[in-house]
Amino acid sequence: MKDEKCIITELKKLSHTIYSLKFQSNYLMINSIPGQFLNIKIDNTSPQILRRPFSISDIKNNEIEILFNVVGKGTASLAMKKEGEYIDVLGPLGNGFKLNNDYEKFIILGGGIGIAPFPFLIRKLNEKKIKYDIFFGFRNVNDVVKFKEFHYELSTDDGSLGFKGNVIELFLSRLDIYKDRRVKIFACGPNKMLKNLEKIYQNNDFDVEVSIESYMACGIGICQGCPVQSRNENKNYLVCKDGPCFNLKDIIL
Amino acid sequence: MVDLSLKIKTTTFKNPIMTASGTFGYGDECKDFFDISILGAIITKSISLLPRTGNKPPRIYEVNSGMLNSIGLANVGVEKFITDKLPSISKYSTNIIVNVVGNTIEEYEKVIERLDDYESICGYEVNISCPNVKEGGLQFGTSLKMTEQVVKSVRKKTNKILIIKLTPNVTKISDFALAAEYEGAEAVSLVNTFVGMAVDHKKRKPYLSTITGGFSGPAIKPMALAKIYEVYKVLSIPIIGLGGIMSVEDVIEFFLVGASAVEIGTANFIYPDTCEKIINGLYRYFEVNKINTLKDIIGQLQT
Repeated sequence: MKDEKCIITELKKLSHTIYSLKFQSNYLMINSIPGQFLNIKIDNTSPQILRRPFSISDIKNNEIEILFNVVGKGTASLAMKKEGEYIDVLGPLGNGFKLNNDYEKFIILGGGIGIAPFPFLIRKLNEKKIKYDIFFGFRNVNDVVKFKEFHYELSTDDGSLGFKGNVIELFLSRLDIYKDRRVKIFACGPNKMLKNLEKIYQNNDFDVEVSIESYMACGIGICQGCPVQSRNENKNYLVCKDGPCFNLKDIIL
Repeated sequence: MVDLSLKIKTTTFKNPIMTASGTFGYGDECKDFFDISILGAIITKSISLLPRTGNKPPRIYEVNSGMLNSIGLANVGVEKFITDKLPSISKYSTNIIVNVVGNTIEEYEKVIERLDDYESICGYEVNISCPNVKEGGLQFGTSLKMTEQVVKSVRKKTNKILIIKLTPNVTKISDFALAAEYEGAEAVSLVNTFVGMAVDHKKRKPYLSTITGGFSGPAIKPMALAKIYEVYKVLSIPIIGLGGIMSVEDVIEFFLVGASAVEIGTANFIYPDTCEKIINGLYRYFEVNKINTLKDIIGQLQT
């Protein structure tokens, strides 16, 4: 991991609520794996002193992409950035998704801004010629992000586009295809979505890895601000250092 | 020739920059960002007799120019600290100060007894001021009588440096500093975090799981300076100042109001190499302003 100033090459809206920000970094291109995150200091003049954590969304050539929603003052000022300006990027942080080969297929479930870590993962799966199915869910048609480079099944909560319901309900409607097959699920999204997924996990034999988010300050394990409870022992993991990707069997959501 | 060193008891600190407890892990987590050996001292996170898992999340919330935390002294406990953490930090050529905490006076004593034979430890910072735990912490630090008792008791257990870390959440902090001095401490450090809270008006709920937390960051610097100024006027032993330091200029301000050394805290969370930048910047500041030693600037506020 390294702390470096990176120049912004592109900032655009992918939907009514989701932004894409791209910046250059050779270091991150060489050293990052899917599922890792970056802790970004957006500027040095605002009263928001802390960094903000973002999943690495994609890496193409030496261009790094993050996706974000405007949720507070920090992300609001990030949305105001211009091409050519700098941001201070600490990363890559945490552990990525575990891509072991013991599976017939990987299933990718993304809810809302929880789609963020997956374009990079999908790029790697393609390189490794590993099979996968993708399910993305959004609240409504205005939130939907389209991707040119891969196909996914779509749900919207209000049914304004694609399957009507949330992404877990969409996946449940396809569950029969995966019964008794060696599949592994990668999921990222709101806590409510992951808890719904947990119920399916308990009734099936799927291996499930989730990427979770938390308030955090440092991103490198020193502030101890982002605990997640271990399922098996009386201890906490840290989302930043031990995660953000965890096997569902190891943590209590 | 600039000399940034200072001496407390028989120990020489190569410079007055130390890491504030709880903001630098056990001491070597930031080794990828700079050479830890350049520090005046590492002050470890609080170590208790038994391991502590800490408070439930959310433990962190950002507020304007600062942050609230409610970690709850999560740490591996003294035994694991000795076996898993101390050997690796002992390799660095800097002073190690272990921050100790207890639920009872006996626990403070036991932690220090357990650590006292390790030569790499030069002293202890006694945390009587954590605002985020039910027992220990503030229970000691806001009572003059309890403060005296803790210091008196731990003093009997060690000849190493004793630094008493004071809370600003009292009416007259100088009384507590004087009590620490009277009972034999070599230094006091101030300020620990201020009690603060943040409220989500939409949900009508507090943001932190523990409702209130410890407020730190640049927002508290003016209050920290005032507390140190108050203590400096009456105290004979050195003051280690902390509270929202982000830059070399901040450090100079702390010296001017009476601090002999400083701890860098919240800034480590933002830039893990803050201490390195400040140490280098301090040498430059002294050179440019023709200041030779810390004595030339400590307490030199012109009023």
